[in-house]
Amino acid sequence: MIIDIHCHYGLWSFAIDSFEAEKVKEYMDRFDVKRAVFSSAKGIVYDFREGNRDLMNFLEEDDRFLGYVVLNPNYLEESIEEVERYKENNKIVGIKLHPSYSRVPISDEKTFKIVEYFSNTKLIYLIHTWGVSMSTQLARLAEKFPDVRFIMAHTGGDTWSGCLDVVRPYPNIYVEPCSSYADRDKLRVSIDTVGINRVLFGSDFTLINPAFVIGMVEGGGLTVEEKQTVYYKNAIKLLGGDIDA
Amino acid sequence: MRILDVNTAFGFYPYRKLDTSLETLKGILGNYNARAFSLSLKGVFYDAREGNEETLNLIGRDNIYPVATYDPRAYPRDIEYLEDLISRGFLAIAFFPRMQGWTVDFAPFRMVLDIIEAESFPVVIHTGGYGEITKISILAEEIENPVIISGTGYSNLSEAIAVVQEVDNIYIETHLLNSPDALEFCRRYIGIERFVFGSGAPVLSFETAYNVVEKSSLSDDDKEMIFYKNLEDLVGVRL
Repeated sequence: MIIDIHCHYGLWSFAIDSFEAEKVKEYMDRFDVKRAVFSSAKGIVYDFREGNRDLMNFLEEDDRFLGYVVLNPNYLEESIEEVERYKENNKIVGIKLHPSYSRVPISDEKTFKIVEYFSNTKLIYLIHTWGVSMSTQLARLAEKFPDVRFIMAHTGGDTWSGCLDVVRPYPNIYVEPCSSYADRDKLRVSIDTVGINRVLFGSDFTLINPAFVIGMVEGGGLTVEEKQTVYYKNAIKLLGGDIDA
Repeated sequence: MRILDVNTAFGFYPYRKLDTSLETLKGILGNYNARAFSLSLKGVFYDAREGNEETLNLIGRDNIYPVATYDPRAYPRDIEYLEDLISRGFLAIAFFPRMQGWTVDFAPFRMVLDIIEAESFPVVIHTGGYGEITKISILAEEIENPVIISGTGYSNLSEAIAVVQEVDNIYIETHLLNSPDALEFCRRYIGIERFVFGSGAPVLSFETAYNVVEKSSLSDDDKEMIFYKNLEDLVGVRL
């Protein structure tokens, strides 16, 4: 069983077929994914509000689908309105920020204002994090808001080992390993650095094949208990525990 | 399922602390009863000649087959070493422009290709980024060797498909085919005959590379072609 906390809905600008709900469900069945949390690809790379509208329709297609609201901090007021619009939807678990596509650094005051505005909610932040500099910015954000939970997408990317060291002191930062390169030791080092309870399963599906991260888990030298914790136990705690194991 | 992996390496890994020894590689391959082409990382990170000698000295011929390398940044030093690679037992030659920081239109690389064209074995090129595969296709049209491109992922898959459609001696190695349905997508446009299995082990996860093929919806016949038949056809022998 898997709970995948990093998925996307919608077409990508690459040589990848469109994944509509039926095909997504087939993939979830193939890899035994019981819950998946999606954000809109269109919302990330183009218009966040149009993407979020598409996503809300998609989420109704299956009980296993959950979602993040994509925000673009360049549009601060509109971003706050967007969360207000959807935060009562029980399918929405958090907010997705992509500082590379929006070109708004995590350290930008607009990012801090968004987090501050919703800091009294249980919304989780999935933040694309690539490189030690971005990881350091995320660490500052997590330090400022110790009661807000952040997921460091990609564990910082290709310099993930150093990025893990940066976020280790912050218990409100979780990590997930997906990346184009399936480093054999990434899961083992992640667990040994930040602790087993802060490592989640995220695949980047529909951009990346879930087989990538599953292979990293299966070949990563983890115990059975560690695999289960990464595959779904930590996500159940993070999402609220209302999922049958 | 038989497996022949065109992309493995062994030796010391400098980018982070990681066991990439030959013993570890053999253990990983043993879990899948797989065979592999391999080379010493010394030839990639430091000196090709020393690395090639290490490859020949350490690799037995049972399940792992030696691959040569050359770093065009050192051209013309030791260029004579490339003149009789097959007779010394190498089954292919691999180049690492992405890791070594040069581009495939680098003039010394063209000189190297002129020399190894006399050897009929596969040329493996580890690349990445937009445009590099296109440049490789231009070079590939000038030689008869099979050219295996390693480093095709979701971002440059369109480029890989285009060059396979245009150039007959180009093949795609699978370890970075990371988008869902990548193999099914490619099968629709260019077939499966031009794909060869590679893992990047032991730096990268063998299980991941294996899963991408095994968990795909391709037929068992297609999977066999990718896992070993296509590469066996390229090297001309049954390993």
